[in-house]
Amino acid sequence: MRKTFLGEFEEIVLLAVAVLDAGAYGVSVTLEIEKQTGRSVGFNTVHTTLQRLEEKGFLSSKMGGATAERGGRRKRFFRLTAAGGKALKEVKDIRMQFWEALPPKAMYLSGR
Amino acid sequence: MQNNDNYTKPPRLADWLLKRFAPAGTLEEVQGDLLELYHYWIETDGLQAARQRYTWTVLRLLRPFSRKNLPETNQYHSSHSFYTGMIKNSFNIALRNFAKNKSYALINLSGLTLGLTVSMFIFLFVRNELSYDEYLPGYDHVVRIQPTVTSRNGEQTWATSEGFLVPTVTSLYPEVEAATRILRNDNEVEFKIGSKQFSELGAIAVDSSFFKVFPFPFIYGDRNTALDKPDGVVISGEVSRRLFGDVDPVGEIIMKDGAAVVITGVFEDVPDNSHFNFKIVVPLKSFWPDVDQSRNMYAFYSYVRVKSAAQVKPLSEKLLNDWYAIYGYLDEKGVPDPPESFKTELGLMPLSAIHLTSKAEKEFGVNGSLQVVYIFIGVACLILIIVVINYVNLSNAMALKRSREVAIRKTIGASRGKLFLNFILESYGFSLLAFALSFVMMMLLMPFFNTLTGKQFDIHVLLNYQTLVPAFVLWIALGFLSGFYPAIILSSFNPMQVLKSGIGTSKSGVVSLLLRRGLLVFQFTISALLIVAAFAIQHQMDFIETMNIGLNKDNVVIVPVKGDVYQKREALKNEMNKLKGVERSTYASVAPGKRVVFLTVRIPDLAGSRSGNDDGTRDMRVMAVDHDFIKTLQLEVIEGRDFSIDNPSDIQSAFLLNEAAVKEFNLDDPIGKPFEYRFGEPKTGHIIGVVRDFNFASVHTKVEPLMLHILPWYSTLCIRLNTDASSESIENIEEVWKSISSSPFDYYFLDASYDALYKAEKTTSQLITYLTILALAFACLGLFGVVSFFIEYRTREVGIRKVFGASVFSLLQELSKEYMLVVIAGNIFALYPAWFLVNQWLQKFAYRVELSVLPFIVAFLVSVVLAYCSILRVVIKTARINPAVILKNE
Repeated sequence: MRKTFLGEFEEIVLLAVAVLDAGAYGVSVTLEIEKQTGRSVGFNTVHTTLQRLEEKGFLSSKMGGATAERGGRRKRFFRLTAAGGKALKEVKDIRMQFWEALPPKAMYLSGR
Repeated sequence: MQNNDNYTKPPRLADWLLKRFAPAGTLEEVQGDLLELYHYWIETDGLQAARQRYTWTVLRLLRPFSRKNLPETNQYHSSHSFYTGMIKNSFNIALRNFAKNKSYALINLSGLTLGLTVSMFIFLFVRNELSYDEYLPGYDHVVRIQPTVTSRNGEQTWATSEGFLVPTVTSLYPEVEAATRILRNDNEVEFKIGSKQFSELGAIAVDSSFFKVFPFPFIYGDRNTALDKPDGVVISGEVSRRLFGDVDPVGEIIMKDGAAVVITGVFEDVPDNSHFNFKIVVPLKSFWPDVDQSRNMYAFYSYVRVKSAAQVKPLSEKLLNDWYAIYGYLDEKGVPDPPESFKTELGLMPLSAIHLTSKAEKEFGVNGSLQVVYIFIGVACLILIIVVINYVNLSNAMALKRSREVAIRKTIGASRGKLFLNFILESYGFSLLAFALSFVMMMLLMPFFNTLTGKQFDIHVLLNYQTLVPAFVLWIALGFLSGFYPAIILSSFNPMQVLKSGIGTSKSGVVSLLLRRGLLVFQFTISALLIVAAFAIQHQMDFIETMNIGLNKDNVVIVPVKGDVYQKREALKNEMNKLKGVERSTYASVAPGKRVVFLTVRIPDLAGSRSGNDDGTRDMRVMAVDHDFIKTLQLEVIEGRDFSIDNPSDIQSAFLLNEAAVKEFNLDDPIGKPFEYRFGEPKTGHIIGVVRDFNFASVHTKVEPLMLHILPWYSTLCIRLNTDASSESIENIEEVWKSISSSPFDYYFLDASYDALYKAEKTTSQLITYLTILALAFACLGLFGVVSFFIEYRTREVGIRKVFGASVFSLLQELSKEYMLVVIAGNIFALYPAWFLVNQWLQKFAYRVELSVLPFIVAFLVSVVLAYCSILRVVIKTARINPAVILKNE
């Protein structure tokens, strides 16, 4: 059995952090998700999800250096942990299994 | 410009909210992120939308109740106070502290326990006193009619009133729901069930509406009709169980005075907290047929129930206005025509106020005293104050010892609030323990308390909510009062200073020193006050017991006359006089110390000496006695002569007055003056002598004018024994009684019945004595605790002084000086309040001692000596210390 369940939005946030690599922090993640999915997401949702993922051990965080913009306030940068990578991969594997098991006609029946 | 500002700065309110409520660990990056987004939103959506969006995002970010902190920032944050590990730790530390300071903790705990026990006992007593006659539904609708008669003889309020009042008042005023008269039978009622003979005290005759005015619950029978039958009788549950067992006795026939009466009901016993008590109730009409016309005002107690409590006051005003109409003092046209010589005010005494406030003539039983209740409440408060002071003082002292613990806790990261909470909870736990212990103690001491107060408390009263709720409130208050100051002091310690020097800041030191001294002074003020009071009260009680009351009350046995004895009285007296241990005996209408009736007499010489139509009629106390009364009670005839057997006309025409009467009526040369007795069968004759005043009532009042005459109106036989009363002589008397009468034998000693007059004062005196000892013990314990704690801080000083050559004796003086000053100051502060309160108390005695300086000197010496003794051991120990040992450690 899997120990942790990864919600859909959590998966997207995790993917966004992975995509942004070293540049993942609250704003960049929010904007990246907006860009990729085309839907508007609340910063607050992203922020709490990032924190929750860190608690679960899928992400690690570190404060960056002081910046000139944003009133000199530091950014908290997030990185994918090994557990986070594993969780993402597991989700992908399960999806793939389903895609492979899909009967060819199924997609047409759904209205294509 | 304002607008330019808006481009760089997000909405202020939202920003403030964020700062205030955002999780502290993430504030910085969240603020940064939001600011960045704000600028982004301004560009994409415009200023207005950006501001809205910013605020909205902030609001949704706030989660005040679910702060999750990041592990990185967690290390400087303390965990929750109610985390089980922390509670366990607090418990451990409290217990260790207790074990470390065993003696102080025990002093503290036992003091608190004793103090609580005493004050809760007092609370029980006071509640009982205040709860009199409140057990029946609608008790506040019931009042007793108490006429105050103002005549030439002054003003007199009576508990009894005329027989016709109840029907008259009931028909005149519609607000009267029901009213009843009570005729009390002071003697035993004798009756037969089958062939068995019984006698019971406590019978009353009442109107059929009695159980409407006093709705006592019925165990058997119907309350509404029980008194309708002229030959019915209602008995109490206790009597019913005793006579018939646990079966329904309604319908049983008993023989009373040769007539058959039937039991019609059984009511639940009258509770102890009643101003009256009775066991047998019979209908008044069959007993006294023309009662509705009776103008006898000394026989009946009249109780009225009105429809609502609010009608009591208007009704009492109506009665005051209408009295002449009620009494029929109207002329032919119906115009008020009140008599000139006297007036009657019909007062209404609320049922529940009778026990503590009514001081009328001829009360139903012995009433309580509001003053005693106040004294009790005052003393309970004083004891509680002393106990709390002790607790605060000792906790405060122990707190200084714990300063290092507090400093370390603070260094580790305990916040002031949490330390405060910890200490105050410790104090609550401690007082809870004291409460539990005092409940146990109360259960053990209950019998002792009952004998002391003469009440019947059951252990169950401790567990009903009326006790538990005040106890809980007291606990909350006590925990707070006793824990607050130490908690403030402890939590305010500066850890740096404490760890460096081992003691708290100097500022809190001064405050706590002042507070401690102030509290000690206050304690000794209270103790000194109580000592003075105890001595003065004891002095007065001794004075009462030993004062010359004008008759010799020792060795006198009083035997109530009842049943068939009245007819055989001469035979009984003769037989008694023949007994070896009996010196002499006499019959009297009433035994000294009991209520003497107030009757009408006329002294023709006094006619016209007062304004108005004065024919010399006066009211005075009258005792009916026989020839041996003066000799038996050893009264002194100071003028004229005693009654004499050789003078047969004495029975018809001789009267003796007391000194008070001679003085009151201004009779110079009273002997031989004509005198008339105007009650029942009138007698005329002369005054044959004057007896020295003797206190036939309690010494609370001055001796009133009294007349003695010979009339076979006897209720008691007074027997003087010539040796110290032995049980043998009582047995002999009983034998004689049995040989003459079949009625049960009963007796008491005259001095005991006099003592009963001062029961309230005796209780007060005993209570004050016990509590004085307690208060003094508490004060000394507190002093001991404080001294032994603080003297440790002076050991270095003592060492240095010794090195410089101070002697043990001079050190003793130096070390105890501070505390002796405290005791002396306490005594000085107690001077005025003690003088004032004791004088106030003495005012209620007509015969009293003068308050001397002696009690004050005694209080001073006792408290100084005891205080000195209690600190002596520690002080000597410190003074004898080897300076090398202490100074070596530096």
